[in-house]
Amino acid sequence: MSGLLDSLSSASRSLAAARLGLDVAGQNLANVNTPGYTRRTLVLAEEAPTDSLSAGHGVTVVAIQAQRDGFLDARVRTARQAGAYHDAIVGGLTEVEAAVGEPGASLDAHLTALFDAFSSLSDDPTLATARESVVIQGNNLATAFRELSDRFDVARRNADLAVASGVDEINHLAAEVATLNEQILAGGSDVEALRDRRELALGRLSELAGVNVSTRPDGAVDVAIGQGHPLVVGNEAFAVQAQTVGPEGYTHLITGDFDITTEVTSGRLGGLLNLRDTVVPRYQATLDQLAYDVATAVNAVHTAGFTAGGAPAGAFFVPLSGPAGAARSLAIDASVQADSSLVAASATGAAADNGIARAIAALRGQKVAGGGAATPTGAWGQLAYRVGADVASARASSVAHGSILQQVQRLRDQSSGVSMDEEAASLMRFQRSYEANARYFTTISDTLDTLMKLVR
Amino acid sequence: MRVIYDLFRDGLSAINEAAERLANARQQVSTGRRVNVASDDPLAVQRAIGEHATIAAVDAYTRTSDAASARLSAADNVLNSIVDKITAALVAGSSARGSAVTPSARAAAAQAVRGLSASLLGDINTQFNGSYLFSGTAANTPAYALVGGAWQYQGDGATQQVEVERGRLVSVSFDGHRIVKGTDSSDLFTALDDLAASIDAGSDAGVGTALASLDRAFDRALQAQGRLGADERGVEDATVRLSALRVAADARRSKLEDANMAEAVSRLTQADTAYKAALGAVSSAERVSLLDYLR
Repeated sequence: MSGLLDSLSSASRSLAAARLGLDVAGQNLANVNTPGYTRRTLVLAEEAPTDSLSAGHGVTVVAIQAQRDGFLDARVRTARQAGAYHDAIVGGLTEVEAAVGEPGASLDAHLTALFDAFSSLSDDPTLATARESVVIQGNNLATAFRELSDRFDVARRNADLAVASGVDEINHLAAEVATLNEQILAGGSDVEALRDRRELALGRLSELAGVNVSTRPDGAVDVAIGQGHPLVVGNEAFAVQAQTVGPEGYTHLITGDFDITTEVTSGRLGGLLNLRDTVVPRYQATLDQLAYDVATAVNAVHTAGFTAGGAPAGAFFVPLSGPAGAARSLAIDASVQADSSLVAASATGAAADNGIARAIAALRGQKVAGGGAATPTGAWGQLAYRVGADVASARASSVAHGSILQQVQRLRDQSSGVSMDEEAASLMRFQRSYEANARYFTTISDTLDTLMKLVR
Repeated sequence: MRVIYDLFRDGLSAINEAAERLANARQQVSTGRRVNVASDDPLAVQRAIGEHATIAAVDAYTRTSDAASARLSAADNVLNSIVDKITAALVAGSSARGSAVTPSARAAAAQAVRGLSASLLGDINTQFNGSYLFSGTAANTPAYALVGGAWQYQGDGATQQVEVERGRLVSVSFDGHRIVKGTDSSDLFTALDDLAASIDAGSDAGVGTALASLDRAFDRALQAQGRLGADERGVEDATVRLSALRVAADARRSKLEDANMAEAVSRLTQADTAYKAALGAVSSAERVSLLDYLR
């Protein structure tokens, strides 16, 4: 049977527990806007009676727990990877899409203008201004191809810069995770706060490069990048090197002796690498092919004709050795550039013959592009469609994955997030508990006073 | 179930989505375009590029038709003039035949024929925008000239052809030789020279031979007029067809690119309402919590 002094001790423990409950609620409310914060709960247990005639010894604080759900944390990381991948593609492709422009006001307009100029020349091959116009429109077309090629190149360069800075961020975060692993293993009172920070870093890492995270039995996490290349093992981080490789000087990701560039296929870096190495080069190749096809088709007709002076004509565009780099190097032949009378309109050498001008103007409706599959503007339309479809698809995926991420974050918040209403209820509950226990304490104290008066 | 409402995650993303839809609707109404970037409707953009190319091709054919029409009209006037002058020469030659014609009347007739010859030479050497119309494709060379005392065709037998619509070629320069001489043994100018000389000499036989030659030249000029007239009608027909094609292509382009304003304005109103609703919902969600009720 416990005495009154035991009761006082019990009341004192209950008061301490209620005060701690208020502190936990206060801490949760204080961190309601802290990124990565996991709500804490106070775990209380009854202080069991020591004999059959004892009511018990009050309450004891077992622990302050963080309401963490490893499974949901992993799902959030996965959702962030996918969302960041598509966001990166949308961001990069937006500038490519802007370069593609509007129908009838982009490269197609310049193609049309060149064929129109040859058409006007065919109307009156003796007109010097019509030849001049052909040269001007040829120059404009070459410039349009060059500028578009440059815009594609800029999109790739921007993606590459973002990859390089992303690598720095990966290394910084990997080092942070390794340090936090070490601190968590060392133990201490702030382990849960350290775990929150580590989860935050892992989330950012996942968003960056789509890493795999595995939790060890001791509570540390290992992180792998690409196809299982270690990034963090316990308290050790393995840096990823950003090395410029090849004649284009693009950044490659090296870890150990492995080039893991092609292995990073998710997260923001995965999106940027896909954009830089696959998506934009595909557009570039199509544009180059179109420039090559147009130049080759025009030259093939042009060289069969005669200049205004009746001499055999040369090439209109500088002949291209192949499609590679054709858009950037497309240019009008220097002699034609200097003297528009060298533009061929005549197929016979006669001044008013317009056979060549007519034949070149007719190329607009002929399937001379894409291996004989499309007209020049048709091939451009296909490229515009591909860019538009890629952007629309990436945007739709980005929105879809954004929704998935929101759903998963809501799910996690259901267990780990701070609810203002819940914390308000906790405040009230522990306040009432404190008041009741204080009353109990006062009652025991008064009882002791009564007892002491009996002694006097 | 615990429900956590995150203002930034849930509230602002809803506001942002509504704001984006509102901005898109505003852009459609303000630009009048349904498609502003390729991703708005990739297939429509691809087809619109095709329609722009079709419109440009139709416009090019229309410009060519207009230019061809102007040249054909000029050539038609010249051929009319040639026919009139050959007729006048035939009349002058016929009037100078017979013994009743006085020497002075002969001299006047011969003089008239020579004048007509000079005028016909001017006709056959007509230039249009600096190009000789009847020299075939030798546009910088006069069609006929007196070289070493003989009339010579200096052009070539080809003609400048323009495409007034897909696959339809029209000649806009003419083979003067075919009109002036054709397969005849003597050309129009030699016949006129012979006629004038025969009138002067009072040779009815010579006048008769020259008039016969002029008759054949007259026929050739009429045939040329007929061919040209057919081409002019062809160009007119093409112009009408091109106009219809352009209207149709422009309608297809508009359907692909332009916004249906009634629909766009309706969508704008909807988006505006949705945006205000999102703002209201978010602000009311943050306004109340249990803390407001605990005293």
